[in-house]
Amino acid sequence: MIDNFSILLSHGLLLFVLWSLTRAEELNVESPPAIDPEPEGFGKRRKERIVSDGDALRQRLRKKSKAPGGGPNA
Amino acid sequence: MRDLIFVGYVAAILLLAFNRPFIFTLVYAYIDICAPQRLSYFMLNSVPLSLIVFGLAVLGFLVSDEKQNVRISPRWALLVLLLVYCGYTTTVAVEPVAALEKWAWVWKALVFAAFLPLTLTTRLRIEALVLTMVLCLSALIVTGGIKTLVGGGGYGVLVLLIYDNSGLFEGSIISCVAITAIPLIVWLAKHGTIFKPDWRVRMYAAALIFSCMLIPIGTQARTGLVCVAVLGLLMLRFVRYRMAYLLAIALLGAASIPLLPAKLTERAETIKDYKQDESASTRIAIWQWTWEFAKSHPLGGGFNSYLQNRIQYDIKTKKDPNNPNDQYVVDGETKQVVDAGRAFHSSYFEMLGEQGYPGLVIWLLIHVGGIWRMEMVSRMYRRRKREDEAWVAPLATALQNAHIVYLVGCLFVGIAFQPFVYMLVALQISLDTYLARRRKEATWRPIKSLRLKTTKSDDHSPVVA
Repeated sequence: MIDNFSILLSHGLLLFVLWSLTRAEELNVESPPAIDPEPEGFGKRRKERIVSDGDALRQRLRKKSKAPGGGPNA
Repeated sequence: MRDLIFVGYVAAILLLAFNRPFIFTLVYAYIDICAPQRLSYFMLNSVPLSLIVFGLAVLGFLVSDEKQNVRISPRWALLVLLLVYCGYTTTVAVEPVAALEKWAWVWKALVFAAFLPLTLTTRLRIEALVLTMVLCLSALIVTGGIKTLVGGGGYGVLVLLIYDNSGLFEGSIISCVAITAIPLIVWLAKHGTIFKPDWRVRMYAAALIFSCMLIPIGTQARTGLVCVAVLGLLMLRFVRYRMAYLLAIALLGAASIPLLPAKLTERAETIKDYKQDESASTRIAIWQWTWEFAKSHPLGGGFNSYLQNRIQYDIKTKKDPNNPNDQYVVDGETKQVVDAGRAFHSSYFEMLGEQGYPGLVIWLLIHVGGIWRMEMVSRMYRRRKREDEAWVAPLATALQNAHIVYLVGCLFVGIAFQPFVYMLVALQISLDTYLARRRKEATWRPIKSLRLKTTKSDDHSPVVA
């Protein structure tokens, strides 16, 4: 009796799980994750380098444009 | 009648699996853990059920799964290496016939463990496998728990569904594995999506955990008691109120001791006094033999090489309290015991004796590596704080705790190739590679070329905005 109860309970729940999985869209294909708003881990240093490189480039271009007779078309 | 029910059940779940081929993988896990062919009298016995279902699982993977999401890792390679190495030692085994018998089921466990990370490519699949493992185990645990409550159980007496002294139906093994499952049950109750956390799920989880705790009492296996103690210590790490937790455990333990069967407390006391305990003395003698055997067979003796052992040890005798007038037993007298062909009684010595130093090293790398990787994953995801990843760190911790409980429990039981544990290892590998892929997909990407807003000034020189 106890064995039959245990088998019934566990197998019944398992059957329910397998049946519900046949209707689950995300079983085979997941939606892609949201892109990190800020970089994580090694990405943090990379962003800091890119931002600082960008700032340095802007500053150089401003100096060239302000310099007398400066600018690429001068 | 039972046969017909099992045949009908297996047919029903196979039909569901044809709809979603990944389910064949879960059906194989069910067959591996529950062994319906052993629960059935003759109908399922005559069919190579596990081979058929495994073939369907592989076919389903080849035909319907997205291969681009498959990732392998160094630990996966170690699993494959262990499989190949075990195959080699089987060919040169000191007990060829017995080695082939054990190889016949070990290779299936290792091949399935190597196959799982290829197919567990979504979060739902990972959760589905954890849930399947727990529900299959519950078939044994629920019956053992109820029988313990009503009858007290007994060492070698508690019958879990069938009269069998092997695999998960054996007392020491099920008591270790039952405690191993507790962290997984807790995770499913808090973070499951198939059965969403509500009062029914929490009640069932609590009842199942209680049944798991009853299994060491019902089987009177000391291994189980050690596993419970280890799990209690591991849970201390993440409990919020540690002093209250310790006090609750101490009070619960003290309150439950008088309620435990007398034979269990007697067996528990022998943990301290090993010289009087024959099973402990046997273990030590076997381990000493295995150590010496490994010196002459450093590459291992193949499966079941323990059959070659001949051991001899001394034991201090003690009168049976139920028979104090026994004139043949003198308290404190030293008795010599001679025995042969005793099993290793420890997974570590099992690996040493069967697979030698290379096999032991590979096995340790797989297991210790898993614990370390789960620690790394848990720490990383506790820092990330993304809502859609709240389930990750608790799962990594649960897998890690389950693994540690197994590694301590298997110190005293020869379960180095228990399929349930290799599914646990496969889950860890799958989680690790899945998360690595998802992190890469979610990586913040800078704009490839810096686009600068430029406007022409009066002298036609560019002005950077």
